[in-house]
Amino acid sequence: MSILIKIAWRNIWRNPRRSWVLITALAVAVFSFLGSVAYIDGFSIQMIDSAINLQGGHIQVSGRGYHKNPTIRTYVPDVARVERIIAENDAIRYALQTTTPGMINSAEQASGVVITGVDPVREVEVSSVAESIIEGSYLAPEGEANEVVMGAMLAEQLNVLLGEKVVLMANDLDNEVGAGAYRIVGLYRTNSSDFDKTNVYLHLNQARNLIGYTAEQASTVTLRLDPGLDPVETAIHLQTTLDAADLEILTWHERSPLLVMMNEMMNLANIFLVIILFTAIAFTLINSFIMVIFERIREIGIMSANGVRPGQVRLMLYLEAVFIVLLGTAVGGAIAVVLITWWSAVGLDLSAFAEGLSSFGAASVLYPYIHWGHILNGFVMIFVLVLLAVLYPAVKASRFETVDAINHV
Amino acid sequence: MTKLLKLAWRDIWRNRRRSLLTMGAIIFAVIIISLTNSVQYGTYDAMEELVVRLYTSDLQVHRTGFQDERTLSYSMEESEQDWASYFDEYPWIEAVSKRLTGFGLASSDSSSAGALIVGIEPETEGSVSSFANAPFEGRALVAEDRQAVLLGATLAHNLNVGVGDSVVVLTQGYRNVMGADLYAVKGLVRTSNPDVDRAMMIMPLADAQYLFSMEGRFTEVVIRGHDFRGADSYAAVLQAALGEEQYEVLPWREMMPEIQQMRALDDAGNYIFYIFLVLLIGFEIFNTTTMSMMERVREFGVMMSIGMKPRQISLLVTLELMLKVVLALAIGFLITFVAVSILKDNPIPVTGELQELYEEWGFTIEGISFSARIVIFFFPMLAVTTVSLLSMIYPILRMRRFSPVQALRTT
Amino acid sequence: MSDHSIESRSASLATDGPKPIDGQAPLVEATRLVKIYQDKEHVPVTALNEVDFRAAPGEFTAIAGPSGSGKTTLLNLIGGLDKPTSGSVVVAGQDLAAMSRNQLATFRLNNLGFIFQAYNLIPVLTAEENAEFNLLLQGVPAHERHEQVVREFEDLGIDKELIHRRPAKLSGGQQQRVAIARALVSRPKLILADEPTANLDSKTGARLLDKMRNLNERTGITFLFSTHDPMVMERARRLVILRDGQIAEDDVRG
Repeated sequence: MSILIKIAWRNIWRNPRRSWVLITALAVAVFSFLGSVAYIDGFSIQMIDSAINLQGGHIQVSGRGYHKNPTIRTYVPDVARVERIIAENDAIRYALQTTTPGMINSAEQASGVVITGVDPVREVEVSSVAESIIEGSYLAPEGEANEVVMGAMLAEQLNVLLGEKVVLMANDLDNEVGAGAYRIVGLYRTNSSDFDKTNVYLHLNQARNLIGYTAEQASTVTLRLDPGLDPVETAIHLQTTLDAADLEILTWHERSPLLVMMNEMMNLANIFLVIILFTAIAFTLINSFIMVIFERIREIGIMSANGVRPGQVRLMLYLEAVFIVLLGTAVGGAIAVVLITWWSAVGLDLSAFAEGLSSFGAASVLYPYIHWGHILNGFVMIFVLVLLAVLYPAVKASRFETVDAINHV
Repeated sequence: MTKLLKLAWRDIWRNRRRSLLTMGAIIFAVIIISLTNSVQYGTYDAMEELVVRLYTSDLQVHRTGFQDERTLSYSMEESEQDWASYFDEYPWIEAVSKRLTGFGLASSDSSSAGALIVGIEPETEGSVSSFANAPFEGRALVAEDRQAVLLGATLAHNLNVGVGDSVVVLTQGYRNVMGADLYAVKGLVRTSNPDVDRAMMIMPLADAQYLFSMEGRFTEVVIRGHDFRGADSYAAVLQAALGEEQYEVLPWREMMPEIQQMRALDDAGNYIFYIFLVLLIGFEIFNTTTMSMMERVREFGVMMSIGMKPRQISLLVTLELMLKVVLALAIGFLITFVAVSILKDNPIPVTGELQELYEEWGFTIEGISFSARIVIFFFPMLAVTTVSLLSMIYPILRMRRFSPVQALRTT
Repeated sequence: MSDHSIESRSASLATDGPKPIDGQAPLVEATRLVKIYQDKEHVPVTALNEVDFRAAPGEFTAIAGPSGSGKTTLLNLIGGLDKPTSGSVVVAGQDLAAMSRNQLATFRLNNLGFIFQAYNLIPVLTAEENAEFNLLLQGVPAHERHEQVVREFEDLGIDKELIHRRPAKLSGGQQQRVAIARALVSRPKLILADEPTANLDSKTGARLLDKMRNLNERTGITFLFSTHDPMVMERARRLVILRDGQIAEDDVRG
C-alpha cells in the first residue's frame, strides 16, 4: 500500500506540465464552486438575518390564527402570564408588539403602512430597527409624546423630514377609524427597501391608544434566543409550558417556509454546479489518464509480473487522481478562501441590481459567507465525481494482459 | 490546403477515443450553455410579456415627475389635450385607457387595510391590461357601474368581505381634501402577482375622481402598442411629440426596473459560470493537444524531412483542432436545437411551493419556458472558438522550435 | 559455441523426448501445452504445439531456439503471465489454469522471480526501492527489507552509491543487476529470465550469468532462461531447444 502511494505520488511529477494543467483545471472548478457557495450562503444568511432581526425574532408568540390572518382582533390574551413564563428562561429576550395595517399621510401624500407599537427598551433586544436608525433617534422609553420612527425611503416618498409631523390612521377594535398626528423622531434604513417603505413604529402605549388595546393586550411577543438555544426545541418547550390553546408559537422557519425552500433551491443549484463543472473536467481527466496508462503500459506489466494484483493497479491510479484532486482543491481552495474572506470584509456591491434584489428581500451589498457544511458536501461530491471519471482508465489498466504489456515498448 | 484538410481529417480519426472525448467536452459545454441561455431567454421573455400584459401595459404617459413621486399633484386634465385624436395619428397604438391611482384606507365591518385604489375606464381597460378583466368571483366592472369595486383576493380576505358586501374607503385626496365613500364589492380578482392581490382596489374612473376630488383628472394614460418589445422606440416617438416639460412617457422597462435588474443579475451569474466552464474546456483542449503533439514529434520530423515547413505543420495541427471544434459545435447546436424546439412549445409547468416562491419574488411565470432564438448559441460559439485558438498558442510555439533532426532523434 | 555444434548435437538427441527426472517431484510440469495466437490479420499462429516440459528443483536450464520458436511463450505460460490454449501448467504443485488473475498475481509474488530483457525497473522508484518491491508487497518489515537488499546488492556487486538512484541514472548492466536483486531477494522457488543478457555487452553479460549460476549452486533456486545467447547456453546445465513450437532437443549436462 505505502509503495503504491509512493509510486502514485512520483508518477504525478513525471509529466509536470500535464499534471499542473489538471491541477489548475481542478483549482478553477473548486474556486468557482466555493465562490458560488459563499455567494449563495451570503444571500441566505442575509435573508435569514432579516427574517429574524426585522420580522419576528427566532420565535413569535401570537393569538391563534394571527400568522395567517393578521388582524387586531387576534391578540395575545393575558399577556402578563405569557411574559412571566417566557421570562423564566434567562437565555431568552423578548418584547411585546401591537401591529395593525393603516395609512400614513403627509401634507401631500399618503401610503399604506404597517403600524407597529413597541416597547423601546425591550424592542432593541429583539429587533435591529433601532440599530438601523440613520437620522434622529429611536423612540423615547416613556412613550408620553406622539413619536414615530419610519424608513428613510418612506419619508422621502411622503416628502417629509425629520421633526415634521405625519398623520396615522387605523381602525380600532370598535371599528372606528382612529387617527393621530405624530412627530418623526427617527429615520431608519435596512437592507430591504420593501421593508423600509411599509413599516412605521410607535411607542406601545401610543399604538394601544390608536387601536383600542388595553395594557393586557398585544399582537405578538417576539423572542430572541441566545446562541446555543435551538428555536425548534424552545418553541416546543414553550408550547407545553404556556399550555394555551389560543396561542400560536412559530419559529422563523414556520413563519417563512418560502425562505427555507429558497435555501434548499439554492443549495440544489450548487449541486448542479458541481456536477456540471466536474463533468466538464471528467473529459480532461479521462483523456489524460488514458494517455497516462498507455505511456506506462510496460511498467504496469512489470508490476503485474512481480505480483501486483489488478485491484492494486486500479488503486494506484485512483491514488494518483486523489493526489491531483487534493492539490487542485488546495490551490483553488486557498485562493477562494483568501478572496472570499476579503470579499466578505468589503462586501460585494450589487447596487446596480438593487430594486431587483429587494423584490425578494435581499440587500444590495452582499457579504459572501463560508458555510463549512456546504463546502464539505461539495468536496465529497467532487471526490466521487473524479473517481468515477478515472474509473474507466483504471479498469482498463488493470485489465491489460501482462504479456502484451511487457512486450509493449 | 485541401490536401492538408484531408490529412487533418484523417488524423482526427486516428486516435478516435481521444478526439471523441475532446469533442464530447465541447458538446457538453455547448449544450449546457445553450440550454441555460434558452431557459433564461424563454422564461424572462415569457415573464416580461405576462407582467406587461397584467398591469403596466407597453407604455404610459404621466405628468412629468409622477413616476418618482407618485402623488396626486402630478395629474393631468382631460381638457389639456385632445387625447383621442392625438393618438389616432400613431398607427402602432392599438389601445389607450386612462387611470387614476392613489392610496386609501379600506375598512369593512371587522377590519381595515391600506389599499391601492385604481380608477379605470371599464370599457377600454380590458384592451390594455388584464388585471381587471376576469374576476374569479362576481363580475368585471362595466361603464355604468357606480360605487362599485373589485378587490384583490388577499385584500378581500384581510377585510373579511366577499361579493355583495360593502367597504368604506377613506382617502386624503387632491390638495388634502379628505374623501370617504361606501362601495359595493362586485367581484374579486386574483392575479399572479401577490402584491396586486394584497392591495388592489379597482373602481370606475369616475368614482375614483369623485373620491379624490379630482373630477376630469387622471394620473396615467396607459397605451398598448403593436409589439411590447418595441415599447422603447414607441415611447421615444411619443415623448418627442408631447415634449418633456409637461409629460413623461415611460416604456414598461423603466416602470419595472426590478425585472430588468433581476435578468441582468441572473445573466451576470450565468456568464461567470459560462466563463469558468469554457475555461475548463480550454484546459482539456490544451492538455490533449500538447500531449498528442509530444507523441507525434517523430511523425512531424518525418514530415519536415520530406519538405513540409513548420508553418504547414502548425496549420495542420490547427486545422485538426478547428475541425473537431466546428464538428462539436455543430453537434452541440443540433442537439440543443432539437431539444429546445420541442421544449419551446411545452413549458415545464411550475407548481406548488416553487410557484409560490416565484410569486413571492413578484415574478409571474407560467412555467419554465425555453427559447429557440438563435441568440442562445452566440456565446458558446464565440467562447469555445476563442478558447480553442488560445489553447493552441503554446503547442504551436513549441513546434516552431523543432528541427527535423531533433524530432527524428526523439522517440 | 557455434550454431553448427548445436545442430550436430541436436541430431543425436532428437529421439530422446522429454527427460524423466529421477527421484524428485518436478517443480515445473507442463503437459501437452498448446498456444495459438491470432496475429494482426487474425490468422492463427501456433506458438507451442503439444509441448511436454518438466523441470526439477535446482535446475539451471536454458530454453533456446530461433526467434518464433516459442521459447518466450513457454516461459510466459510457466510464469502464469499468459494462458495456454490447451494443456496444463503445474508449478510448485499448483495448477495455474485453475487460478484467477488475483490468485496468479499472489502466486507469482510468493513463488516466482522475473528478469526481462530490458526496462525491468519501475522508473519512479530508486534502485533500492525497486529491489525491495516484492518484499514490500509481501509486507516484510522495513529493517529486514533493508538488510536483505543490502546483502543482495553486495552479493551482486552493486555500488552503494547507486542505491538511491533512479533507473534512468543507471547503466543497462546496473539496471539488470538491480532486476536480478529484485528477483532473488524474496527467495522465490523459480526465477524466469527472458533474454536477460540481450541488451548487455558480452563482458557484463558473462559476469551476470556467472553470478546467477553461482547463486543457483549456493541457494538451490531454480533458473529457467529463454535465450539465443550462446553464453547462456554454455553455462546452462540443461539445454532445451525449441523449434517450430516443439521441443527438438533436451540435453542434460553435468
